[in-house]
Amino acid sequence: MAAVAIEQLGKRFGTTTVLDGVDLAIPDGAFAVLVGPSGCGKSTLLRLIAGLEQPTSGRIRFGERDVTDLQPRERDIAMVFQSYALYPHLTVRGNLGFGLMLKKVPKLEIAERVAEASRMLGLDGLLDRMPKELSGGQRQRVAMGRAIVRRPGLFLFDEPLSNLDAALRGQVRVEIRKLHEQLGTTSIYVTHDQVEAMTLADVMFVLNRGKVEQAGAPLAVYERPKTRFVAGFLGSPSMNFLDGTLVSERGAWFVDVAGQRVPIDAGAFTKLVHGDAVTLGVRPHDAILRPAESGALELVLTFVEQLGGETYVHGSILGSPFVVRVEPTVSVQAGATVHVTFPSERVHLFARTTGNSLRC
Amino acid sequence: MLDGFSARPGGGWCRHCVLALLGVLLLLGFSTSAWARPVRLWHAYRGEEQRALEEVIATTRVGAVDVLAIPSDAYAAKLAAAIPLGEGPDLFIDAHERLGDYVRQDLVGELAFDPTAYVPAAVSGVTIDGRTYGLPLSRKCVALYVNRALVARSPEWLEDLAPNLRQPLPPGHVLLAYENISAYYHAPWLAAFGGRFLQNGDSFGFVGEAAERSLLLAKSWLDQGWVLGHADGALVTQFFRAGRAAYAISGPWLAGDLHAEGVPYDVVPLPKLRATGLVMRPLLTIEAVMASPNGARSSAALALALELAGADAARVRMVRAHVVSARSDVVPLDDPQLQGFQAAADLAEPMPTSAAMRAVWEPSEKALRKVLNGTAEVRPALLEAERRFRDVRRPGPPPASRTGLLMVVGMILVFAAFSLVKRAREPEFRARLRASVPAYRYLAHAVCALGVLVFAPLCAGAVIAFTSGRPGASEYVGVANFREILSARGGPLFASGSFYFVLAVTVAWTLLNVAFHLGIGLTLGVLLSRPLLRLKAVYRVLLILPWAVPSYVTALAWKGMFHRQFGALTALFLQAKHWGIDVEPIDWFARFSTAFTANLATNVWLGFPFMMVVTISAVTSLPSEVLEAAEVDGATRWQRFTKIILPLLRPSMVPAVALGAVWTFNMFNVVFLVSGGEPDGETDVLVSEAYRWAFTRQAQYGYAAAYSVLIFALLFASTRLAARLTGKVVA
Repeated sequence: MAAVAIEQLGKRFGTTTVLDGVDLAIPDGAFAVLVGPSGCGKSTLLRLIAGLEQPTSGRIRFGERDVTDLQPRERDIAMVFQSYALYPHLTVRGNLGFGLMLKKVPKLEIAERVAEASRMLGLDGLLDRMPKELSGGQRQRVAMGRAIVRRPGLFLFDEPLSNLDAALRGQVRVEIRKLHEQLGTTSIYVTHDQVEAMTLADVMFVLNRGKVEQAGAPLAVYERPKTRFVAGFLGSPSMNFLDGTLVSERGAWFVDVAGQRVPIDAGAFTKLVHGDAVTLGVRPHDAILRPAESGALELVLTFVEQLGGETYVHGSILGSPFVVRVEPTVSVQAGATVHVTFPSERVHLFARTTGNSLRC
Repeated sequence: MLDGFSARPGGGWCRHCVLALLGVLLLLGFSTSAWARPVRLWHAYRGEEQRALEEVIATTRVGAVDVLAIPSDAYAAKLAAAIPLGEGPDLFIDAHERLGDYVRQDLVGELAFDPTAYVPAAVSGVTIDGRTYGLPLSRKCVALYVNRALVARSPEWLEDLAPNLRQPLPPGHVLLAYENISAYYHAPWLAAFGGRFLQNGDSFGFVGEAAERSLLLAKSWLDQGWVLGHADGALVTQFFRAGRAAYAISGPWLAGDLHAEGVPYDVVPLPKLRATGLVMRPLLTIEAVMASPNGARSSAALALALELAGADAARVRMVRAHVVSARSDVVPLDDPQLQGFQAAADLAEPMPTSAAMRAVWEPSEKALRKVLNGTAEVRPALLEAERRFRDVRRPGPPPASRTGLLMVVGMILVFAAFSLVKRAREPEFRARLRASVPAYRYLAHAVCALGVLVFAPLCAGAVIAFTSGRPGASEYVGVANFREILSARGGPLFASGSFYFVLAVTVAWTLLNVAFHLGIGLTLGVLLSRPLLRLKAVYRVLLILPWAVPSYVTALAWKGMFHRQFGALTALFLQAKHWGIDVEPIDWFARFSTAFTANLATNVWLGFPFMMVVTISAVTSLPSEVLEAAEVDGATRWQRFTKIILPLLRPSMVPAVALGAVWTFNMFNVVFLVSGGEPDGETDVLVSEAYRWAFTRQAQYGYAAAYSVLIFALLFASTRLAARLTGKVVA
């Protein structure tokens, strides 16, 4: 088991820069999640950690050990692939024991460890089946089992749940977290699904365009996104954004959104300059529908999405799309015009030029 | 449809054109069949001889002559195919020794002529059972070429060849060059001891004291380095033309290859042997103009034949092509060469016309080669040759009663009819059949094509296997052919040439080849699939090239490389010697192991690209994540290859291996062209053995067809078995 430290890691394929000076520090025993949209470089980063690709620059350390130039098999890692990558010609038992067999572990011990892993994952009755005779969820478990059996210093997961249906995904997600509690092995998990990221991570790294945009505990990142990208990427439905201008009037600060003034809590922000172009961000569940009152913005409803436990009303404010979460008891109709306000402490502000948060 | 056609403007005009065309064609057909149809003449001449013939034809008084030159390889087969259909020539020019076969197959008609104008030997050559079947044109035989630069005077005795030299031969020169591994060239040596290849009554003559002494003499000349070893025609030409041989024994064809300004030479009759006082009489070939049965009834054809064999035409041939005439009334030109050939021809003995003569060559040559190679003693080799001759000449199996056949066929038919009727009465089957009609319609053309091109020949072959299948006699003989094959024709079961021996060689040949193909193909395929390999496309093209070259070209090229004296391998060995590595050049085709290795090397070269291509495509389609998973799981490169790649390639490789095995099992080109079955027929595989029975051993088609049926059965059974076994494993 080891902490993972990555310093200034860069990777180029030809002229395309995929990773651009990435720094990561993952404490020993933590469950780290790399999250980001497609093409942000998260899978490449994982493959670099695994040793399946060679970095163009930078170093990778597992604890005290510099593994940058080591072969994958010398790194003491186990990886769960998106496609599971089971050995199609081996039974489940053969798949689970493959890594141990290569290490020439005594047969008896292999059998014990395979039995233990299959008990943990509920694979007991499947040990003599071939991979093609298994369902998607079972294959996924075998892939996990193959990693567990090896007792590596580091687990790597490359979007392991993306081929499962929604219900199974939720279930396996919980199991993965439980397994981690049980084994306590440092894990790095790549996903584009922010729900997985939020629920699994001890520490989360949001990647965008080959860089780490923000790192930290999932809730902290969610609550205090450092950039407009992170704010928009985390949360579902994603944060609403309205472009406006900062206005200071008699010691009070507003954002002027096309003539309508939205008050903000000036104490929560820094670098407020009168007249600056900003983007105002509000999460759907932080906005409140009201009868008409001053300071409220008009929302023209286009679509009402009733999910049972909650309802999302979709519409636009001054041309920008806007979503509000309301209680299912609230009755609104598409085509109506309603008014929206938001508590000033729940409002996020980003500089429009850099996209950086103005929160202090 | 019809209305549409006639309503179209110009439709009537079209019809008139067609009618006019038909009329012209009819007229043409009528004219060719009823009026002066040209006399059709076939020949296989090339070069000066062809020009001489054309000159004669140009001045003929007979009228129109339709001359067609046929490649000599296909000549006899074309005649045999065309004449029975009435499509063949009226007249054709061929060597007299084929007359025996032609008479038996009714390909020639009797041609009566006045024999006094011709040399008696020529007349006797075209006479079979008292009837003459051709007009002799020319006589050809081998003579002694004497290199005047090295030899002081032409020898009268064989023993004088060396004493007559001007001075001892420098290194790199030989005393005598002739095709010493060919029975045809050994005939004069045999004749010098009073022997001949075929005795009266068609018994084998290359056995007994004369044969033994002739072989010992030839071998002693070879062992003393007086004779060029393992020589074929090209080598003899090369040596004599380069002035590196003092004497050569060859026919008029060698003169054609010598430049006028090159080596000065004389042509004289072959010498006598002092030990016996007998002349080394060569075999004489008489070229004659023969008539097909139709041609023999045509007066124009007969007139043309007489003209071709006349004195004027003989002079044209003599002047133009330096051919020795078969006429006794044509005085040779004042040309020492021609006189030399004429003198040699006067001494020569006409080749027997009996069909038995063709059974002589193969056994005799095998014995000759074995003795000259030193791999066999003289007497056993000759006795073996005689046994082989008798083996080939054995009478065909007796006709069998057809009762058994009729019963079996009848039972099969009754059973088939019964089950058909039974099926047809099931309503479900009828409904399914009706539903499948469109499918049958789509399949029809493919079924027809396959039926005509594959199944019909296959069935015809199978039917022939149950007949004696010899020219002129093809009655039903039951399973006699199979019985003879499987009992090794009464000989020892594992003697060279027996079915079991050839089968064992074939199986070894197949297994070794496929193992090498697979090993090399897999290795290269995996190496060439590495994504980061530079110039991958170039290597791939280079390595696929052996496959792209026609296999017979490759086979001939490799045969050249394995040549005892001039092959690339010998050159390599000599070079190695230069560097201090002591390796002797190998006579590759003298021993089974080396001949087999030569075949194997050639076929491995030809075969590995297929496996390589299959491997590349299979490796490319392997899931890369599985290989990465193995890498992460701790597998080394070798472990990834053996534990992941190989098992995953297996489903793609199994059919490729099955296919490769069948191809190799039936690989005729390489075996036939590289080793040619040498030594002693031991490297022959089943297909080349079947070929020999059909085409070089008295046309025993029934026997050869039975071989083919056995090959088919073996391959069918073994592929079914292999499919079942591997199917289980893969599943």
